Amino acid sequence: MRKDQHPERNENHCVWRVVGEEVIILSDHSRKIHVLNEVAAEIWKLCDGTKSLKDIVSVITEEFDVDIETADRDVAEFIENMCRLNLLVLREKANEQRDTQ
Amino acid sequence: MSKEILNRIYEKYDGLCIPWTVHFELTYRCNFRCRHCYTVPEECGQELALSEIKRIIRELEEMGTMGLVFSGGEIFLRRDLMDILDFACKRFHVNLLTNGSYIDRERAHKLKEIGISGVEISLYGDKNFHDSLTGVNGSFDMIINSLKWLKEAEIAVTLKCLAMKGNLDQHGYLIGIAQYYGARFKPGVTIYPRTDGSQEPCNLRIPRDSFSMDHLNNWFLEVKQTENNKEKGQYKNKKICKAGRSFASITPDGRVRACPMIPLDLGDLKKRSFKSIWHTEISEELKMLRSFTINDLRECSKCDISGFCVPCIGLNYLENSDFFRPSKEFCRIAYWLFSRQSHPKGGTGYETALC
Repeated sequence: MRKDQHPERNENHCVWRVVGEEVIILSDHSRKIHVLNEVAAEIWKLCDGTKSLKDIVSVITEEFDVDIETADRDVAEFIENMCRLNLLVLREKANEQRDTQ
Repeated sequence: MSKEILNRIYEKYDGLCIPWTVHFELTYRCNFRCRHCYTVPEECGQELALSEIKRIIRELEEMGTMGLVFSGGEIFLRRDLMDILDFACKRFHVNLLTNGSYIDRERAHKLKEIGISGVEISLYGDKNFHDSLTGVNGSFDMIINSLKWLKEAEIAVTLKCLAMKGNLDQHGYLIGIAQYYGARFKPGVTIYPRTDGSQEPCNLRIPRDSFSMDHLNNWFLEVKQTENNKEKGQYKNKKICKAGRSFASITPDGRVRACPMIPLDLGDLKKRSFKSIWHTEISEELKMLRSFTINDLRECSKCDISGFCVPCIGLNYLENSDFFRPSKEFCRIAYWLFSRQSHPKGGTGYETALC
């Protein structure tokens, strides 16, 4: 995984909702539910295919009281896990801003 | 899936009064005339238009609802069904309840392409029994065909089989069909009155004199696994069920209900948003339903075998016009379960428990 790649939610294979500070994801493939805490929820929301990994780390560092090395590591670990679950995919190029509705 | 996580999410939705699942009835029109059906088509006004349904689906998505169950009537009688499903599946975990008669090869593959999560089909017995119950010659064959196409399309199917007068000895046969077509077998034992209070469907309930321990062990298998570990008083002060908080129902003409079995209209979606009905301008009826706790079920809370029962205020109401007076059918089922534990290997048990 490179920092210039653009993680994007695999919306065809999951349903997700923001409930309070958490994000709840229902995976169609595995029929599993994933509950993301506040930080993970923020990373997930940023994974719309328009932002690179580097951009996401930058936002997380700004929004939460965390140094850049920790944010780097945590964001990468989260994105790797979600890719493994087929809930995120990595794009080489940024998607254009779009209306998901 | 961790049961703890799931329970925590359910509790969260329940506490916030966000429907986790909405049971969305799209039409009461049906090509079958099942004798045990609870719906009353005459009570339904003009069905919601596609544009209204899409608007409601968007509102539910915004509220946080995760799952939709589309039901009828027979949903495939709506010509715009595929448009509805296409729209819904992009946003929700979607399950269908259908009699299966309109699912051919093309439709099965289309459902897969759209992204349907699962299909539930009811089968009541062999060809003779099933066709006589639905009132349609050939209905059994239609279902078998649909099971074939759904299996080919690799769609998760649940075969719902309701125990009733006349099919108690067909349990094994029905399991065999489910296994052959790769479907999950889901037995049921509760026949509900019609939503207008008519008790006619109840004539098909399992007759007392035809019940044996063998039948009991077969048809109640799933109930045993989920219900018989509960102890008396476990639910003290707790809410009775999710209806009205994390579960909602919508009639084909857009009336919001807490549950299909609770015929209280809580608001009209043709005139108001779901959010206003459910959250911001709540009717007295919904306030009342949300206030119910297990303590209100006075007889049930004193019952020695309450551990074998999950009370249903909908069934209470449909049988007795009283939310808190216990359904005789649920008492009967609880006694059966209790008696099976007391006499697991022989006798009718049921008789013993009632004496």
